[in-house]
Amino acid sequence: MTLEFIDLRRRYGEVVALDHLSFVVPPGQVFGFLGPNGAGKTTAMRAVFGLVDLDAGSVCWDGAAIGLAERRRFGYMPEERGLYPGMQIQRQLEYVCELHGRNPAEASRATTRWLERLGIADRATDKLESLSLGNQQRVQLAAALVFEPELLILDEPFAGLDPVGIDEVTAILDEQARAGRGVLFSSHQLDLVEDICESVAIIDKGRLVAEGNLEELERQGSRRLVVKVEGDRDGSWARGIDGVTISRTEAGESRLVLDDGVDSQALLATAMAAGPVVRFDFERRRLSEVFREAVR
Amino acid sequence: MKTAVIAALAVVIVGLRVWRHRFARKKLGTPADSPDRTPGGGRVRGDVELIVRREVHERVTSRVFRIGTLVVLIGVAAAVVIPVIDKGGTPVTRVGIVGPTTALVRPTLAAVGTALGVKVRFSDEPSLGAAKSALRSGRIDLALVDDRYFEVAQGISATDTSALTTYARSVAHYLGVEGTLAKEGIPTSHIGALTFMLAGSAGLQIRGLTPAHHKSANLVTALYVLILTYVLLSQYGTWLLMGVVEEKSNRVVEVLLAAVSPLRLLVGKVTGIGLVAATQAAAIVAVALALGAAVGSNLVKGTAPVPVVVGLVWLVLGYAFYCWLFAAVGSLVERQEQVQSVAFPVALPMLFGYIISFTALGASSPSLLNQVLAYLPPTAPFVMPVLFALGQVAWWQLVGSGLITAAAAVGMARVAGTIYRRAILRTGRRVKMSEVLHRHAKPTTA
Repeated sequence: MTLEFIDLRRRYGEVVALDHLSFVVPPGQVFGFLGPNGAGKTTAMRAVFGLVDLDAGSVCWDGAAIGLAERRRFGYMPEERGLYPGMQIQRQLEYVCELHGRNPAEASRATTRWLERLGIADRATDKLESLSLGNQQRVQLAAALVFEPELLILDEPFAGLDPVGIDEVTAILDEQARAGRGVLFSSHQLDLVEDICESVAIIDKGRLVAEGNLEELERQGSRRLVVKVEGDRDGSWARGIDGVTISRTEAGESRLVLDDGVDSQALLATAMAAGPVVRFDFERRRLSEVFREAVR
Repeated sequence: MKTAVIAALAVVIVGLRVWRHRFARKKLGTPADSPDRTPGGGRVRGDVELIVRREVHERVTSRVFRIGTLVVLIGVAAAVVIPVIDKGGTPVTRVGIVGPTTALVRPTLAAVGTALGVKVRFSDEPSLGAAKSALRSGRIDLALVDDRYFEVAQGISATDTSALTTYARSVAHYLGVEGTLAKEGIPTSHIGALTFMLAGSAGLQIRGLTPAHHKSANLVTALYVLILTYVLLSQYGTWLLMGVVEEKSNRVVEVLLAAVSPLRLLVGKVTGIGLVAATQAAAIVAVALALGAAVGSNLVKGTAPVPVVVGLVWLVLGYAFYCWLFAAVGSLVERQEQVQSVAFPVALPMLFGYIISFTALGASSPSLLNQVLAYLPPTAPFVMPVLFALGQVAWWQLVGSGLITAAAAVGMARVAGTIYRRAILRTGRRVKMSEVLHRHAKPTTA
């Protein structure tokens, strides 16, 4: 079952929050939702839950418009979080679980299971506000997961987590995706997104600027070469070659960007003529580069 | 009274059945045909039921609620018990005798007092003038003049059920019957049986040095009912307002609205807090009546409990009207410092109704303003129970005003639902009422 954003449009006065935004979140994979601050990520995620009244467009689940019955099968973790600070954790999670259609016994079992999984079972009867921010974040994640949703929408789930917490959440998202559920999350931690996502959508000013399988996105664009010629410090051997741009040199390694017409074998021959070649690698773009290019 | 209780119970039962029918949520996915049970045991609870349960649990288990309830109960208990203790055990009625009396009069006055739990002391007054002077100074409570009529300091109103009034009415009636029997030559040994047979006959007249001024037990009851109505309505309204603001400021509402419609969330919240409020108010009334009965307070004598119960019903009606307003204005703000600015316009008509009701307490008949305010939903919960307790309105007027307030509460619920739905997700600044009441307003964040 796929989640589809279809031509979403929303303006707040002069500010365009969503501008004909369309993309698809496939099931069974972790999908990264990226964009600069104010790009419209949160607005788009809120639209899934009917928390934003769109000017135009729709969000569909399995080909049909999303209603309350569908939303109850989705887990949501808002950016600004959203639980009662003064309520006991166990009761709070059971409450959310029951609101999403589970009976009391199921809610109790699921809550206990998730609290144990997240290592906060000993705090079950504590109030949320008495927990550290990291643990509050864990409870918030549990609130999105406790009723076994078909789709997870998480707005900045890694914000405020320590490395151990990040590893836990990463494992959980991966596990959810392997169970066939859709997982859409937003983040500014691009290295993390690169590690755990199969696909991403990048938006800027409410508009989709890049989308697709991460590997394909990273392969797209100009070819990149890393070349190291013994005795060369600044890549001077590559200067002046048509269609070749030196993007960076570091520790004797030159990173080159090749235009489409450049023959890499001829380039290798040129490098060998300058000295012994100890490294000659094609390199994929990093997600951060994809992102910067997309939102430039 | 019995009819009113039966009618109230019927309304509650029908209301609960309608509520269960309307809000019992269908199971997820296939709402129309899914069973209400899921594997693993237990019924899937309706969303409104869940919200109500949460509200009730969180309120009842909070320290603020428990301490607050205890303080109010102690206050009410003190208000009931202290006046009785202040009287010092068995109440004493001092009767001044003016002019010649028959030999039976003093024993009769004493016997009636014994029957009513009142100790009677006599004093011979040399003249009517001296008796009146003694009445004014408070040296005596009642004067029997020439075996023909009684004189009291202040006239007795029909709704007065104080101990002195009850005693005065009883002896006036008893002596009136005794006089009638004497005239007919019937032996006084038959008086016990004949008094009941002659229950409708006229007794001796009771005159007041000053006109009746509703200085009665019901006046005190009306005062208590008025104060409690105002205090409790203000408290429950504040609970609702703060509850809505809390959910908005913490963004809990976003998680909830992902699974529940705004209207159901609002209804659940209002009902949950309403249940706690009604239970607390009923407990206060029960404690007041039980303590009153235990210590022999005027609160439970005669018809005095009726205004108390009517006050409780009006508290519920007042809540039904004001709860929507408090919840609606709560959805306009998200910071504690903004609360005062939206709460004040709602609290103002409550304060007005409360203050204006005090003028009714001091008047022998209701002013035109009070008569009008008794029918206006914002002020009726304060003015109408007071007028009723003072005997200044009839049952049908009470019921009519109640129906108007109930209808207004339904209208208010609709308006509040619209405001709440459009404002609760608008964050970042205080939402203006004009923005959400605009025909094309959208329920979105700013």
